[in-house]
Amino acid sequence: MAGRKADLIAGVASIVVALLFGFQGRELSLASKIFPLVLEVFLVLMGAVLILRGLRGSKEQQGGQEQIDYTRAWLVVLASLVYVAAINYIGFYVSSFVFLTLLSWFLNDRGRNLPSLGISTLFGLLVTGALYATFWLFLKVPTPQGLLF
Amino acid sequence: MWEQIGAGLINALQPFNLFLAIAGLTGGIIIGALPGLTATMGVALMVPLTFAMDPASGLIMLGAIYSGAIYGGSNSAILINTPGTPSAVATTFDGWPMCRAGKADEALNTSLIASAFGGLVGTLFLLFLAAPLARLALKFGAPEFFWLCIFGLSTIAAMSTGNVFKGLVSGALGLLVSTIGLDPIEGVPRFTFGYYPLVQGIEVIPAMIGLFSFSQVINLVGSRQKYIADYKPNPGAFMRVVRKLWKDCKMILTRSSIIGTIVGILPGAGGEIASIIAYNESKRWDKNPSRYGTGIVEGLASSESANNATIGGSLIPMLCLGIPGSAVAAVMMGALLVHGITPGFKIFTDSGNLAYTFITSLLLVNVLMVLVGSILIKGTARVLNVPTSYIGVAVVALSIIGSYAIRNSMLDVMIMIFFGLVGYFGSRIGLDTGAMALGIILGPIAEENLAKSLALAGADGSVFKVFFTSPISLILIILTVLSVITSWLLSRRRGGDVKEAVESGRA
Amino acid sequence: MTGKRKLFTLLLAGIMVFLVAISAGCGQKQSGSSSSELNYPTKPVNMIIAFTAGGSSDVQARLMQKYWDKLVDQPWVFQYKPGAGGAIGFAEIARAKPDGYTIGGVNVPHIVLQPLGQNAQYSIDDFEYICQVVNDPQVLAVRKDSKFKSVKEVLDYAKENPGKLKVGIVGTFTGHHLMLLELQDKTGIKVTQVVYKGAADQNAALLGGEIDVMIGNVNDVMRSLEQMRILAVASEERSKFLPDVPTFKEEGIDIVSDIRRGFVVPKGTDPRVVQFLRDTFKKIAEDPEYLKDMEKAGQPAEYMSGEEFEKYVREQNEKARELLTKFGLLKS
Repeated sequence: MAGRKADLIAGVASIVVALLFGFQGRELSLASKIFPLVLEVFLVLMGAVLILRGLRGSKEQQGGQEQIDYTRAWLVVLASLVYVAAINYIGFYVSSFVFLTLLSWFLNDRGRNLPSLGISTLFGLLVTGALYATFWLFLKVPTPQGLLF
Repeated sequence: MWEQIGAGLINALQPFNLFLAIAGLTGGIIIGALPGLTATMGVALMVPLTFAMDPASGLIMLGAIYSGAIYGGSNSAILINTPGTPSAVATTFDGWPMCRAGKADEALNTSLIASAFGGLVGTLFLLFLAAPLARLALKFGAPEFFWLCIFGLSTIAAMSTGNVFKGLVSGALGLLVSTIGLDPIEGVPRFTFGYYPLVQGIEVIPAMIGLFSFSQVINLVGSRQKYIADYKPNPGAFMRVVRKLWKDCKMILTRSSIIGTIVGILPGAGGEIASIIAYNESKRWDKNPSRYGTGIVEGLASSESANNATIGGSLIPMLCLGIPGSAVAAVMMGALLVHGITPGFKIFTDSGNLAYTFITSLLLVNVLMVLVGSILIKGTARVLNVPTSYIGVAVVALSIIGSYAIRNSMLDVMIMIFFGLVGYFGSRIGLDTGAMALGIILGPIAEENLAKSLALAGADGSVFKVFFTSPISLILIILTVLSVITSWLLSRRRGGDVKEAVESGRA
Repeated sequence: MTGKRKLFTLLLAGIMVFLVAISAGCGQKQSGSSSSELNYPTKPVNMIIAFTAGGSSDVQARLMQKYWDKLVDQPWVFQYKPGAGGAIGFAEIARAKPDGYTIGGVNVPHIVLQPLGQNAQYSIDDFEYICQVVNDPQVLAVRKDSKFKSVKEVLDYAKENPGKLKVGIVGTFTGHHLMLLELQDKTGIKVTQVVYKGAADQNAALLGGEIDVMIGNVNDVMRSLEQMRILAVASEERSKFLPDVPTFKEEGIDIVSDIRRGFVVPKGTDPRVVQFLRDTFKKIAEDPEYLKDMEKAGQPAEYMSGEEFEKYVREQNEKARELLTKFGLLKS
């Protein structure tokens, strides 16, 4: 992404966030509003500076951006959301196992075949087992509960 | 006093106590390395076990867990760019670049030795200067805390040289987000956007896990890298690091440890603030500050020695005044009270045997930590030999359970994912996740102390008197101004370089 | 080839282990629900603590756990749900399935104040009350070298200098806040209220001279008696932890204010389970060993049965509603 475009987006984003918070907090008393209000004003000012800089063309150097495979990136986010939703229904350990196995199989570089599914299953069992051992057996820290466990 | 220290050392060296120290360290390091499991949680979970032990043994174990957990946070910070505890945020700045450059072994050993060093310095202060330092802690009121936060925030400007505007925007966004929840003055819900459960506020840890680790996973998986970083076991890294630290970092280690101890003494400020301040100070005094953040031993050594030094510091007011300097110290004080031991200046005379055993055992724990840590490092570094597809997926599972565990809230898990996306897209438009995390950490402390200071100013009838007359406040204000000016000069110098480069490129 | 085979076998083995684990889990669940007489508890019981691990509420519950384990086979699983001064955890208890497998620790007056002051998402009618176990009275404390030697001197100063006296409290909509309101209401003084996040920084602020007076709890100030003077305690009778300190009533001010800890289950829990819990907790609360542990931990134990505790909570609710209305702090 070019420096100019990045500046424009960052500037607009900070102004939008500031206005959102400002609108939400409009009915608060002065005492609880003062600190966020200062920040909102600051963000609007900084946002304006960034937008101006973006429009004028920025001299700022951008680090070399790596090539990103957006399908894979979004897949991780989507799978994580499904995973979190599943935790509520079928419990933490079962969904972790399924998530770890399937996603690591799907993402692995050796091709999606039976042996790699085997490795992924093993990996899923191993990590789920390690989580179970540390969180439940050793520390007794509760994990989210669902129908299964 | 020397006699008592000797007697304490003999007590601490008993086989059972040594065993407890080693077990506590191992458990502590694992807890610390797992994001979402904090030192406080680790110590609180083990307190019931100590009821059955004699008080000294119990304290030795808790002290070992505490030290291990604060050090352990650096492991995940270095290896997967995820601070295992909030006090390891500054460790990611140089630790992660070192790891990516294939110097994971150096980084892990640096953090281990620096942590042990910091821990020792903090404990020595506890041993010899507890009483005067406890009195110093009381001089630190709301205005001083407010300025300390501002000083901490000024590091944003220094952190993001060359990109100051976006650094400031990131910091301000973090601060603003931290105001979600109940406000600290009137207790009314703020910025819940119509969704009541948000009243619990944005907890630092899930936000941090999202910003650093979840966003990192998206990035790694998206970039199709086979491994997180090149890694070949590097025998002899330990000795090389020792020589390097001895040659170049004596000053840095000492200064950072002293900063850590002092910040640790203050109730309400802990390793997360100490390590950031220490990092920034090292950077500022360096001949070539722009090296910082590119993966250098010095940066890592500053943050890691500072956060372990806070341990000794936080125990000073706890033992002397009954005022814990950190959440962990508070839990440990509970354990003391159950054994019928009342903290106070008299603890060194009334329960001298116990007090000195505990303090000398902490010295021992820090020495043992080098041993236990260097064994564990050999295993943890192997994480880098696992292909990204597996590690990335495992980190997602860990991030989710870690954000849940901090207060058993699924909402925190969603917050973690949200901040993961913010971190991912934010860094693509040049926002600084470190600055944002800093804002989220310092926001509540800054606002609370600002509110208290204003209330005090109302009673005294003078804002000026409250904010600008105490010597500590003045020192902090001067330091803040210095920090901003130096980073401005720095960015001008660098900006000049860039301009020249661009122009010479054109010509 | 052999490598592939090995993996495949491992994979099969893994799936089988998994299936066995699942079926074992299901089997356990069914045996619990089928019997008709009270068969409770058959699995671990969740204990929700609305504050952080290691806090006073947690320490108290963990002390009780030691004795619960002696009487009942199934352990407690601690779940910490801190946030919003307890409101998050209390709401969690209220929303839990009323099957007896969720017990929660509650604090009075927090539990009545949050629905009144912060629109919290539960009401005091959402619970069955098991018992009260702690009554930790509020105290008024000053530094050892303070010019104030008695409550009267504090009040006189506050009357002559309205708004000048700096009083530290922990949190808003807490027992401390309520007591400060009550004190101002009953004596007509006007002070500057300075709100701290926890007892640690509040105590430090008092000792450092940032505030003149603070409202604390017996449990907290006991640790700092070397540096503090306790002027009065807001209980009916003198505290056994502080036998030399007069009560507010002795000083001529009719204030009784305290933090109480108790246990509840969600409304609609089987009455037989409630009865079982009430009996068990009573047994624990009267165990002399337990009382000794509580005293060591500086937790002022005071048992009250479930019925009395519920009545007390309702009384406090009315009292708090009145006070908050008077100061314009009522939200619903």
